[in-house]
Amino acid sequence: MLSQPRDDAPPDDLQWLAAERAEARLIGRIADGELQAFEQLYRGYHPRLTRFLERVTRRPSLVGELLNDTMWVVWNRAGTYNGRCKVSTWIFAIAYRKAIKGLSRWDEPVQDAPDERPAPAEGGPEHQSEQLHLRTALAKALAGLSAVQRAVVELTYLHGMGYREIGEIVGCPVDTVKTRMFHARRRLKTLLAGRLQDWL
Amino acid sequence: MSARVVQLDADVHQKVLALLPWYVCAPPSVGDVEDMEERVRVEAHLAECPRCQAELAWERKLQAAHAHVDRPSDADHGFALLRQRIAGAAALRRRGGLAARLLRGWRAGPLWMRWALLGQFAAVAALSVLTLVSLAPAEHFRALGRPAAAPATDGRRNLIVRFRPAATEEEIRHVLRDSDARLVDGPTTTDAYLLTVPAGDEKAAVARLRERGVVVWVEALDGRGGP
Repeated sequence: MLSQPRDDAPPDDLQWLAAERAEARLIGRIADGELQAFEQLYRGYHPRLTRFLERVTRRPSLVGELLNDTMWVVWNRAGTYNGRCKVSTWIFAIAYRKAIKGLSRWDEPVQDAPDERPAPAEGGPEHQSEQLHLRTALAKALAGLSAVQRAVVELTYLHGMGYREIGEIVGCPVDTVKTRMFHARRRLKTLLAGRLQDWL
Repeated sequence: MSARVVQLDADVHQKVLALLPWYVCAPPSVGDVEDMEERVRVEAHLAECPRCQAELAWERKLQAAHAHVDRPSDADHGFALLRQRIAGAAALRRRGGLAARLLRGWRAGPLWMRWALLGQFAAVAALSVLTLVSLAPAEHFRALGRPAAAPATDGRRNLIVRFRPAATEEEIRHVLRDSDARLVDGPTTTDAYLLTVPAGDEKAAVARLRERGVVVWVEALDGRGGP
């Protein structure tokens, strides 16, 4: 479980705590039906949720609908948020459930995710080419994982969440989270054999 | 998922190996002593384990491979759709709220009032039905001056006729009998009468009536026996 915030924490932590409390206040205003507060939260979470849902589902055509279904729950159930976990944990848990439910409901062919396309250029042509190859290889390797394994991997590597928080999001014990990561890493290592060493 | 649960804490090395992704990617939780102690244990093991050091390097490369600029997300369009959904649901709730209030009011009222209201509704409904029935046009009503009259019932045709003002009742009776005509209506404001004659015989009937001096004017209402 998450620990309770302390007021004698270092300055960086205090900044983090202030952001957390601001988000909790935002949820309170949304519970009161304040649309402006909801828009602020929506815009804040849109990039993160888009990325998460894209990577977990690998179906870009579903992402917009799943994201709005997630935020629709936030709008309607904001009054049930009890502050026992971070706002982001609560929202990502809703998004995760929507993604898994969405995947079981639709049987669409897997499309190329937008993040597999070339990203804005950095460095010289050789570096760009290496980055592109690496991202393509990584995307293909991630496609070889199950949706629940991808969720654990993405929440860790993309969103920097701890295993306890991930356990709350995906609704399973921390040992299961660690086990999923163990299998996912082993699979990624096989699929990316030699590539990370060669390209980075 | 049906993955087999692996016993990861068999020894320190395996424990650290399992924690490396979060050691690299997740910042320590604020005020989480257990988390801080765990990091210290990982760092102590890393300092003396070449295999875990290699794994740590691999983790850092994997994290770097994940981090890149995504396409910008279109929050404007998404929020516009959601705002419409919220407005639609609010309108639905308002309508549902009115119905619920009416239902609550009905249930809260005394029994006699509910029966009285039901009786009133029944009376209003019955009166409405009666009014509608009485206002319905008669099936066979037709104005005398209607130019293209529908065929009369019983396979007969309509004629309109005006008798001479001085004609007697006996003369008129003779004319009608000879023409196989029946007087069904009249006189109108212009002293005309409506007659019926057997269908198919109207032209002959008109001709016979015109021969009689007692008839001033006659014609078939459907226009086929004109003057």
